[in-house]
Amino acid sequence: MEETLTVPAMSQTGWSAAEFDEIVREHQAKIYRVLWCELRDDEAAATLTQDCFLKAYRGRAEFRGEASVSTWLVRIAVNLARDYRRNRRLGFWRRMVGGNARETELAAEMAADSSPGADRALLAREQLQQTMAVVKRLSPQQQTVFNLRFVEELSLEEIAQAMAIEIGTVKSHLSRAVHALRRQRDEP
Amino acid sequence: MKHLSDEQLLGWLAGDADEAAQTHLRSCELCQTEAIAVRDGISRYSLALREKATQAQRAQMAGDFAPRKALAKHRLRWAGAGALALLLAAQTTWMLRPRERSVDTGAQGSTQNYAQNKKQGGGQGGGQAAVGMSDDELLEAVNNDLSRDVPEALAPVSAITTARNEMAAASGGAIRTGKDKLKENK
Repeated sequence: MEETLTVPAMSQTGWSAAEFDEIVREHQAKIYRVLWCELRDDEAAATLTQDCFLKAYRGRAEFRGEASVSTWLVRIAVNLARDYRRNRRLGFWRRMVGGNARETELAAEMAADSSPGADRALLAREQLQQTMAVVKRLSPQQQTVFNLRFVEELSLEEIAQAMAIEIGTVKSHLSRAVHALRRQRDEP
Repeated sequence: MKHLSDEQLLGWLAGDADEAAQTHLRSCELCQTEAIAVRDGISRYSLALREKATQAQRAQMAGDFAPRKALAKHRLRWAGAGALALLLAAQTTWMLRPRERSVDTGAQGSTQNYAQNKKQGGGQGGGQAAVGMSDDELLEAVNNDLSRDVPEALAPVSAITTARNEMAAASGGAIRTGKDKLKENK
């Protein structure tokens, strides 16, 4: 009697708790990275990573396996980041006080950290700063597409699924980003 | 000469450049330099972001354990707080115990008083003091009650009368009251 009740319930709700634990362990770092790249905020990324898995667990019955688990989680994360940005946009003073300073500080840190050697340090720093400046000028959606493509190395199809947009739109966003990078390089 | 389009460069960056793009890149030094520069820039950006994100995550995870570290750091304070709590508990217990003793003592005292009062034929409220009496004391008090000559309410009057009669006997006759004096005068 118990089996007949339990088995359909399990198939409806998706994974068991142990299976979901495994999913969390496997994708936690990636989801944190996606969120951090979106927000550049350590604490927000950590909080939203937890929110992402909580949301995924609650909505696990809705996962139909059309996309991979990873893409499904990235989609939840991207939506959470978008909502977070939208809410943060209301925090005018916070942005005025700390936002730009943090971005600049972060860019400087990243440029300093990525120096491969003394002789090529200047060139590497320049390349990184140029790329960062270009990405910063892109629209939020273009930035997300750019990061998912080049940082997370998702395929165009995965990006389209994760962001619920057409593959053509993904290509268009990436082309604009590449165009901006080329143009930046041409500028003195 | 037509240089690489953005789409072709994008394809080359993804590792699936078409034949025309590859041929052009081999022959055009300008496009080659540009493509390599864009690729390097993206590569550095990607690596830097990954590294920073990993560092941030590690820091966050370390931060999650910070409360435990803080607990360990303030172990002495926690021990002090525990000792204080124990002291307060001991004091509370101590404060409660004397009250129980005093109740007992009071009860015993009352019992003794009760017994004394009963012996003396007095003892108002003796019934309340019977709480905590031993069986012997209770029995004695009941016996006293039963062997009493006058009701409990009249015990003081009886005591006064007894005392007066004793004084009169000692002085050689009964004490004369006002009524007796009037009779004598008549």
